[in-house]
Amino acid sequence: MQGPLPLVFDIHRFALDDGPGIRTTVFLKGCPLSCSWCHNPESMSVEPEIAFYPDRCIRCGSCRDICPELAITDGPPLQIDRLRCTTCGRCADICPTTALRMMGKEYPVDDLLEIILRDRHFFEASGGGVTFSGGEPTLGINYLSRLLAALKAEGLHTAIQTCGLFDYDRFARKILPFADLIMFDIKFIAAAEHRKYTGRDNESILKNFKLLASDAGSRLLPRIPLVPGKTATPWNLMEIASFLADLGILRCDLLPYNPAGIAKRLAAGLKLPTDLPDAPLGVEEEDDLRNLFFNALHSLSKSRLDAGKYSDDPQGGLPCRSTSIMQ
Amino acid sequence: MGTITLTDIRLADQDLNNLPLLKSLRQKSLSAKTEVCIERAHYITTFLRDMAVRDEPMEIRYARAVNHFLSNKIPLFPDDSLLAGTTTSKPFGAPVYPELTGLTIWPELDTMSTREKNPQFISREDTDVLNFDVFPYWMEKNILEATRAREGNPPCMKLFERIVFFIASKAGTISHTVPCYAIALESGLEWLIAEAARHEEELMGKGSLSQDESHQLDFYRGIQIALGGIVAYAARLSAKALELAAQETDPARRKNLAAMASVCAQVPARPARTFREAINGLWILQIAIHAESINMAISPGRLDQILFPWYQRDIADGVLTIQEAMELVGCLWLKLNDNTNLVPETGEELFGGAGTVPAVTLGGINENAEDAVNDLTYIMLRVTELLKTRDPSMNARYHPEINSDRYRDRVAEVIASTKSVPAFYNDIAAIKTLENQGIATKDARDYAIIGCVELSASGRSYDASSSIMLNLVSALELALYNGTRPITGDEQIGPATGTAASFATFEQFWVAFKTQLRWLIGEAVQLNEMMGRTHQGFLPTPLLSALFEGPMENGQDLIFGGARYNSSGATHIGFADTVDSLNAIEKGVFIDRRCTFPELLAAMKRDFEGDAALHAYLVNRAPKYGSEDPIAVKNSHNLLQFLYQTYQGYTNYRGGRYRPAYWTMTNHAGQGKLSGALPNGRKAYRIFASGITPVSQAASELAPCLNAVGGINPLHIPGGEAFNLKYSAIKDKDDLQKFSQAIESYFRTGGLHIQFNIMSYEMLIDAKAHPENYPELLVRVSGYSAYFKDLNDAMKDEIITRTAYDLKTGRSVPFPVQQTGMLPST
Amino acid sequence: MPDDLILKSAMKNFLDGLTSEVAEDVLQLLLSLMAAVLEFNPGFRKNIAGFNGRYQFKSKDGHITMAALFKDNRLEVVRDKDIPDPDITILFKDGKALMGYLLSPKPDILGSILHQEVSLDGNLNYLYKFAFMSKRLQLMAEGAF
Repeated sequence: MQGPLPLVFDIHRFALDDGPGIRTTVFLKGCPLSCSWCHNPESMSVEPEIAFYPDRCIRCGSCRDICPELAITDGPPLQIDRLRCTTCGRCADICPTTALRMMGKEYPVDDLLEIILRDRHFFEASGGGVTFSGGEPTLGINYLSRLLAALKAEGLHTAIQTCGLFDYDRFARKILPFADLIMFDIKFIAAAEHRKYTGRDNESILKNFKLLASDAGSRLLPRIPLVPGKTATPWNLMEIASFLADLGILRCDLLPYNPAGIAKRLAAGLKLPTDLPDAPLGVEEEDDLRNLFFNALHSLSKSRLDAGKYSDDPQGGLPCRSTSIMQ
Repeated sequence: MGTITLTDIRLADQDLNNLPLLKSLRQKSLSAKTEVCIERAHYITTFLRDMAVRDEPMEIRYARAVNHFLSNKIPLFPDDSLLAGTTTSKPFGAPVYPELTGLTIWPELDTMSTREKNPQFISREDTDVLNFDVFPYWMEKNILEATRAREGNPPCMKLFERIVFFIASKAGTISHTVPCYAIALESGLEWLIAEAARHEEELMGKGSLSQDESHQLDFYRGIQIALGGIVAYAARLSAKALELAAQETDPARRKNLAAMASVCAQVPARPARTFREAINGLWILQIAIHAESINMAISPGRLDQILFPWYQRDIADGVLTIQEAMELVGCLWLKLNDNTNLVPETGEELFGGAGTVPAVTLGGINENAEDAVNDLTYIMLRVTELLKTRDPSMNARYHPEINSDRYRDRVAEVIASTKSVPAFYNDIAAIKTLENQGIATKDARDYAIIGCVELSASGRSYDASSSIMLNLVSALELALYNGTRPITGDEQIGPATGTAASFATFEQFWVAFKTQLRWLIGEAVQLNEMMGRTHQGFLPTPLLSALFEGPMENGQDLIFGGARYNSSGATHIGFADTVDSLNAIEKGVFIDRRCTFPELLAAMKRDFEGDAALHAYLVNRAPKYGSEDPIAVKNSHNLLQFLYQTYQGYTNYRGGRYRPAYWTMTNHAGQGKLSGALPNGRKAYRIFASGITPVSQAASELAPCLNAVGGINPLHIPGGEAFNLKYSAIKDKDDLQKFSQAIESYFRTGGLHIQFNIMSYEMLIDAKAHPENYPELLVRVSGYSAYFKDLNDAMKDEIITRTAYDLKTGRSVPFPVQQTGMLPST
Repeated sequence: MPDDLILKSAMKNFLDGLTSEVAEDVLQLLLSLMAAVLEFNPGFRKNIAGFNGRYQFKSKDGHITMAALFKDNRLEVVRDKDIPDPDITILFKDGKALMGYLLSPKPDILGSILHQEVSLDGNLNYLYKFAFMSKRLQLMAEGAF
């Protein structure tokens, strides 16, 4: 194996929210976007990080004593001088309560496969499989490709969750042949907002999505995070509906906002963005937005379909994949 | 081969509202108060003392005593049940077995009627009978004292009487078995009696007999006498039903009584002709066994298979409806609840809340490896779902490759609906395990569950599955303290295997531990053998032997090894705590070197007071059984293998092997309260984990936990295991599906057994605080089912603190912060 | 009836003595009361009709040695002496522990094992019988019988 491997920051076994059946979801570190609401902020950086969970700390001082950089003062509350910290991980090793944890570990492909395959029976009994998430799992695209290929060779169902920012040609060669499900996040259609909240342009993301809509077929599943006041606005959802309808896509997952990111940011010693919502949408508000979105998606695709009858554009967005509507 | 003709296997249109008889009988059963029944003790004692011919062989004398009791047993019709016969002379009775442990109740005769926990009522008159008449006769003669006298109060017996090393259950039971009812129901007892008579005549025709042959002769005579008692009891039932019918004014009751009179005139003496006759005949046989053997885990076995021919015929002939079949099955379920064990106050601490655990086994495959699930399987599941009673202890077999997903899903649904039953068994693992014990494949495929979770080639294998309960933590402590235990002070109990300071490697300690364990097992086995010989001398079982495959051909009583297969079961308390302690020693002392071995013991002695960091390390960082940590996996497998090899090296007095098992009833709570702090961070006097279940709150991830337990080699657990898993809730169809699929994957991994409580921490905590609001809350303990309110406090805490998993995340639910004082390690 | 008076006062002494810390006192009180009631109360005497039983009581510190011999429908109490061939030997930590073991309305059996308050050597059925009689005596003293 050449070069450093992408870091894994969590392996969630018996995961039920990341694709069909009972799954193992592997979370990889590093993401080209920096969405302010990210619920896995520990995944943003490709570097390892030390997380601190103050409610588990018994103030035994073991970490302070072992830190070679003298970066820890044991408060209360315990403080890590993040500038001095080299993330050598000794404090996490010694911590008796796991209040300090190392975020990010290398797993050679075979080691990770071995862990995943332990749950083969769960996958087989439930029609489940394996999902790679992050972070952006395609950042280490060769690593991901080897894993997916090996899992397909084992006959397992594979899925990835992506922010959509990748080099399409490489993706098409290395990932597409081995992924049974591509969960693709769409946050904004408006370029300015996308840039504002994620730090990156969405031009190539939307382009990649369009390419996949034809190349991946029903394996492509768009997902929209419903971040209150940000993505979860009627206007944005209407725009996304229109975008999807153009492509003839009727399936879409709307994901409630998960405020877990706040605590995780605190634990990792990251700065808290000022405008972060602290709760998901209310039930009614969410229902209203869902209805709005799916009504728009359906009526738009119906009108595109009708229009398509008279159009000579074969790519005009035939809803040929209108299988189920996941709400 | 299983035939499903039901249009709806869930039988959703049948419920207690259109089964009013079951509804009212159920209410009666749930509110019944226990009364002590001295009937059997009285008849057996007076016969042996005053009427027996002294120079008659013991087999004959005892058979006559059993016959005398059954012939005089009161024919009681306490309610509107469709089935005739009661286990005791009371509507809900606790019978006294003075030859076993009945005398332990003696000091409490004047107080047991009014005691706080689970009172058992006895009248002044009956107290006098036991005190003046029955108990004095048995003072030198019950199993324990007869053994003590013969063996000269041996050290192994004194060790047993310390309570904290092992319990020799044989003193209290000659039971825990699955009889063969099918032959008696198909052919009738008269046929069996004739068979015995034929064998007797054959022997008589021989002229001079060897000593063995003359024993055989006595045995065949004994069978005829004992079975004659059952026939007499059935005749009394029939006559009484007829008499009551004549007096009865209510037409429905009169009709029912007349029907029972006719049924009891036919069965079990003659072959059962209808489903009702088969089911009532089976019930009378079950009652009759208790004339001879104590009411502990006499398990009827695979009732959906045994009763199916009659069901099928009656349905085909149009003389039985599904609703009637459900009523009859329901009546049997409630009848199996008509008795309980006589339990002294001490027993409440160690065994509280148990029923008599007659295990019924459903589903699985048949002798030809075909799907055995049939309509009756689903009827019995539905009755179980509706009645939600403590007994019978319900067990569902499942063969992942042969049984249908639909059946698995239905069992899962019943578990979700009852929150606890049935327990689930993997046919592939169970059959392989029994085959490895020398059971023929055909017989292994016909296995049924005994009592809690024990595997048995039903009706052919006499397994005495509850012979020994051994406390593994006691052996661990003996190894930690050079052959002593903190609770028994400085006294040298086990061999001196070295002080903690003397162990330079974990392997050296492991050897010391094995030495203590081997020694302790040796003591326990020795005592069991001694008691087995006492059984052979005093307590033959001609009646049970007649309802078994083997004894009739061999001319040998079960207790002399007459069954086709034999074994003795030894179960173990504190498995997970012991493994986790080994892990903590190996990792903490010898790998991570967080402390020296003597420092660890010193911290344990202080109950970790002032050792917060070390304690936190032991709890959070030491490898845990129930995870896939290689050290934990190695130590759990090594311990199981060692115990397997050690026990299998012993042959019992009946010629069978000892089989290790891992079910604990409530003993893990009781024994935990008698044990100091442990290397795994468990604090002093806290509960141990149950059965083969990981320590509460130690295994936070569901999938690794199921893999770790499922990854155990079932061949090493021939006696059976209790794996108790808790989910906080099954909220919707999606949860139910995942629940069922998780069971499937656990079985595909190789798991042998699994049982559930579907209950949240909060609900259980509330049930402990307000028992009056949860009168019918049924929980799975560690093998059997119990009403939560009947359990002692330690056992309630154990059930509460068991790790609850969230089916939506596959992770453990955080334990309520304000209640963490209940947890083993906080 | 003078017999009745003697019994009544003996029973009162016994109930008072149950709270005593001194083992010798309570054990002695129990045995002498038992002997007296056996003497005067035919109903209670029925308990030992034809009964031969030899009980040795000892405190763990070795300070107390007593014995109760049931024979010929009588109870003989032997002080400060080991008897030959006891049916059962009852070894106890102190009087409170012994009385708690025999007479407590809700005996703390696990606690008793845990604190090694009482240990036994011999035929347990003899202890059960003795415990029944002791309990009955206590109930009689309290007026329940």
